[in-house]
Amino acid sequence: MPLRPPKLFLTALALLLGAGAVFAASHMTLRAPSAGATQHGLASQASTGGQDAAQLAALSEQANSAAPAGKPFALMPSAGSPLAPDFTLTTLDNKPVKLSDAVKKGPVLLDFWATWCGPCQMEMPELGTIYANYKARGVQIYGIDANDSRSQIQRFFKNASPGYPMLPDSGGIVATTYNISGIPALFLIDTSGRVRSVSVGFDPNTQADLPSSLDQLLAEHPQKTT
Amino acid sequence: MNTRTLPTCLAAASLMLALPLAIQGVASAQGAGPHGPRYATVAASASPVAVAPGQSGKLIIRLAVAPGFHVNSAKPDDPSLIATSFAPNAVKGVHYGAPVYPAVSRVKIEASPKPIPAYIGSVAIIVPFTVAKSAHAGKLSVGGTLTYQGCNAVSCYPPKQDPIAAAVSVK
Repeated sequence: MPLRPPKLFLTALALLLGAGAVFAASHMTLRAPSAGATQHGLASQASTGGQDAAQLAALSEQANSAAPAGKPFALMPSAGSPLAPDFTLTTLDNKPVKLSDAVKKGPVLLDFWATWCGPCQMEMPELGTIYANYKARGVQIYGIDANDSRSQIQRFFKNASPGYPMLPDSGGIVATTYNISGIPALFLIDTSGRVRSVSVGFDPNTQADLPSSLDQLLAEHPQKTT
Repeated sequence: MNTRTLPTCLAAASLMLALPLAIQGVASAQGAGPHGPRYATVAASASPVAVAPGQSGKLIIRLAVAPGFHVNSAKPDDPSLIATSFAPNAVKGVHYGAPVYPAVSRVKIEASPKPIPAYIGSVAIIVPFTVAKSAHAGKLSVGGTLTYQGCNAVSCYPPKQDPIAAAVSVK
């Protein structure tokens, strides 16, 4: 005997399942655990919801296509900003850094870069100065290199370092999740774990523009600063 | 029709389940895959296209760099930059000479205090080759891999390794 379920019921079931999937996908957020952390970053998992991922991808794309002009670090409102995909990577001296833990201490700036990227090298000293000026207030800057090996990065910084921690992203898992294309790419993340600004490309005015955005983020959550 | 109702509805449900994840996958794949704008195209040809055993020819690799972008030269001033380089494939009966890279342009970019040697516009890399005297008549493919890495005035993009191939007839 052929199975003949009511068409309306099955359509409703399909809609319900679809809606459930959308809800589930949009709530896999920064708070999702990053499992199996940290053998040279390879086992780290970045996670974000579908809606946030799409929004983040759009932001990255927009930042990629626009030349840095005006105020590249202008903050987007917290409400509606995408949640930053969580990840765990290890520093060059093998200390694990989990983004969802880091943002509890203060705003985080992720600097995606590579040793072969001239504009990245030009920007690093400025970021280093900003880091030195703001780290006591809880601001953290992490350099994420998805294109070079750990040893290549260590050799690169043999003589000089910008001062902020470097996180090798072997396999480019985090860079892929953040939709990285052109570098340098800077993601400014607030203490709620939301991406408030994306800037792609060397900006000669970084030292002038970035601090005001950091000040603004620190003012939003003064209790989280140290 | 009625017997197909259940599978059809289940398929629809599966599709709706998969859709958000697929959207997320596409978003990630866009970042992982092409890695940014198509800043250069590569084409190859052989000249002449028919070569007698013992004779020489040229593999011509044309690199067309999009306006606003540049590709690092074969000998960048900064050793940390990725040089343009061609690595030939081993082909029985073909001996390759050293690639001849094009003249560089001095490109002024925001991120460098002095102009950098780079390729802009359309340039050609010439790779001489010689077909062995012992080669048999027929067709063969000369080529290899071209590695290059490009930037615009403010951003850089991951290095690319494009396969190069051009057909040659042995007379």
